[in-house]
Amino acid sequence: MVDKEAARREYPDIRALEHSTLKVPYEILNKKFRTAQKAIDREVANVLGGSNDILHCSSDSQNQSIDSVADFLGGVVQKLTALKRKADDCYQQEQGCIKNCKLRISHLQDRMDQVRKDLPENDFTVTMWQRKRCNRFIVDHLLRQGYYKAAIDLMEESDIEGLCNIEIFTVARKIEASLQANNITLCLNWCIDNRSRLKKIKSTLEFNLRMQEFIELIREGKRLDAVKYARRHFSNIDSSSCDLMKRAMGLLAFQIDTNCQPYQDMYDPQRWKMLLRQFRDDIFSLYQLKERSMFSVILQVGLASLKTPDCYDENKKSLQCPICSSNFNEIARTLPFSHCSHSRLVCRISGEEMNGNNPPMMLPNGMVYSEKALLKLADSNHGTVICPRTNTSYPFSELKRVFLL
Amino acid sequence: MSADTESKPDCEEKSTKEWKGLESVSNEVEKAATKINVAHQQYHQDIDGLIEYVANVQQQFTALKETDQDPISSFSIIQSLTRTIERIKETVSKISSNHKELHSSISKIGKAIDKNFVTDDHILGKEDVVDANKQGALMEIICEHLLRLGCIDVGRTLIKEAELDWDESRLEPFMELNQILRACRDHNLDPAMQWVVQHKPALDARNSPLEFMLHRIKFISLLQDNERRALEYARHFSSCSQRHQKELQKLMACFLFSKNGRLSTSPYATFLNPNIWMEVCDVIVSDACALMGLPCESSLAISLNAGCLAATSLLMLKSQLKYPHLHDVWSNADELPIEIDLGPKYRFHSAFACPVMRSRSTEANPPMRLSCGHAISKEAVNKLLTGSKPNLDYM
Repeated sequence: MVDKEAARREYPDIRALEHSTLKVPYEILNKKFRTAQKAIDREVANVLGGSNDILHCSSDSQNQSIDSVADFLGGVVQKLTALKRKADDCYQQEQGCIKNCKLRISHLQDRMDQVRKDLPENDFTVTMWQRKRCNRFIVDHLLRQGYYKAAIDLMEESDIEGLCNIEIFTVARKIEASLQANNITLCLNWCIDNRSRLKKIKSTLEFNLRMQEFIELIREGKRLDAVKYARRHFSNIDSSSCDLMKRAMGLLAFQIDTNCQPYQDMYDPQRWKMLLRQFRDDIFSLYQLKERSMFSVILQVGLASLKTPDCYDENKKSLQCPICSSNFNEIARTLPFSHCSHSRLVCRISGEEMNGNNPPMMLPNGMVYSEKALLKLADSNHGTVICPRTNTSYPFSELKRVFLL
Repeated sequence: MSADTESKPDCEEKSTKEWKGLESVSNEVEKAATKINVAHQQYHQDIDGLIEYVANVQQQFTALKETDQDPISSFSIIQSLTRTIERIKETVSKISSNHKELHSSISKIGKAIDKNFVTDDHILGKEDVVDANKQGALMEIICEHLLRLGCIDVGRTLIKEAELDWDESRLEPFMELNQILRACRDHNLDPAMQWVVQHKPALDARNSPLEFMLHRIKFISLLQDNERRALEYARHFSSCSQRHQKELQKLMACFLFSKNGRLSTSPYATFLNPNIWMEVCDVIVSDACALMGLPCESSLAISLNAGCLAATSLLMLKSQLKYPHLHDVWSNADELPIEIDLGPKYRFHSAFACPVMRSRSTEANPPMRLSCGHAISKEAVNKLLTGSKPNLDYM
């Protein structure tokens, strides 16, 4: 068995849990890089085009006036200035992303330093770091639930700006709002902007958005426009969507109030909700955000690892135990209990752990408490202990030690 | 143990291989950052030089026009133009390709992250057991957590956004706490001090160190600008001198270093650590919550921290020991597949595991104390009694 500290250094919690903390800003950097390259190439093409024009006109007519060459050169200078502005902006954005990566690394580094120093969990710096982590999880969860204002407020209050993926959610929020208003434009623009990467994850979002537009045209009775729309946008679809395509064409023959499947479903406004979900899944996987919030993953594991049968026994509940509180009690009901293969006794009187230094002692009525707590009771009561649960009193000498294996 | 193993590389291989993943990622980020900065500077030089050059050429042409020297040899014009255009082409392509070259160092960051951090956490469960209809309860829990943090306004926002059925009366007990914490964060201890005086008996019954902590902060801040006033203030410690004797001795020793800010380089510099303000806030919260009959620590924080510990253990076990039955923590619905020791801080209930039967005791199968003092489960006792040969190890 490896000792605990060594295991912690080999497998610190950040190694296990913080992949997306770093991966998300990396994906943002990667995306910025791609956009930057495109923008720079576009400006470069502009400059090249401009300078080729000069060559053409100066070679076309030998008597090209100096005047117009100067003008052309002026145009090139302008285009170069535009390139400069654009590229400057791009570089600055990339540097901003790098800065964010560094910020997150240094936050994780704080934790790593604590692990290397073997700081115990009740050390204050550890507590503070853990609190930030809790708040990060909460902010992420609130963002996913759509409670943006509370999330942003908490982020500002708890000094974790830059550690939450607020940019992605801000973009997502706008697009989601437009989808909720049954408008695909923003979402479609986003798809076009991210087309190559969406293709990589085999996303059908763009196709489904177009399909929705097509359905809406039919709904409005503009069947001819729908056909035109289909011709324009569905001509180069791949074979996998071919069946859907045929079905869409079939829809042209059905009225809105049809109860013939699958056409009834295609008219169903619920499709908008599906698009919303699909957009969410896609934007998350593009930025390597986990499908489920870390908050719910961690919370479930945590609740299960704390859950004991005692938490569901009115007489054995403990005030300090999270699972015994009513809300958590309900939430944890369907979770498995913690696994117990070693005895661990906690004194009902003092809340202290019972072990070799503070052994368990049995009262004649069968109740077990820690020696320290019982000694304290006996000291204040002339050598007699009163069992807090049955209120019967016994002389200390009648207590018997219990040995655990 | 770690010192021993570090000197023996073969042993280190097995037991204590310190994880350097964060450093590897950090290195890649630094490399990429340098590349980007260098490329940015290079690009600046290139583009500024080019703009200047083209502008110069343009000026030459304009000057040429004004002098109206005619006819200029069209050959030399074309030659100089071709040169200019060549240079433009060369430079702008270089700008584009220089930027493109950054890609490799950027993608190395991504690879380093994937390589060093755990990506596959399927073992922690595939779906949310906490389903949508429990989100309301979850939001209440988050709200309680926020109130304990002293973020009452964030709590209000959440109540509104999540449409929780909470009225102001549920927030009221936290209002005073919130004010005390705000004042503390602004380094004003008076409201906290008043609160302590009001609740002194209850706090003393809890053995709370709060009063002492508050006096200590005040004392240290006085000591730094007026020794005499600090000395006068020190009489406040009389009420808690018994319980905090050791600390008190240290505080008195601070008088030795009180001049010219020498305290910050003295052995007692820890008293100046700004964290003591946060620490005092924490004690206020747990005391106030205890007096309200609430748990001393946020249930949500405990659960999440326990979850982090448990998840780390599970992922580590899976990676190191290849536990075959650890496909999914939730596959066995009754109990987690392995024991996860979270440490004493996270133990709230006694658990008795019978050393014979290897199972948790229940109401029907309670632990029994044998005459030798050892405890085993009732079921085990019965088995031992009915068995052909009672096992003397236990009897």
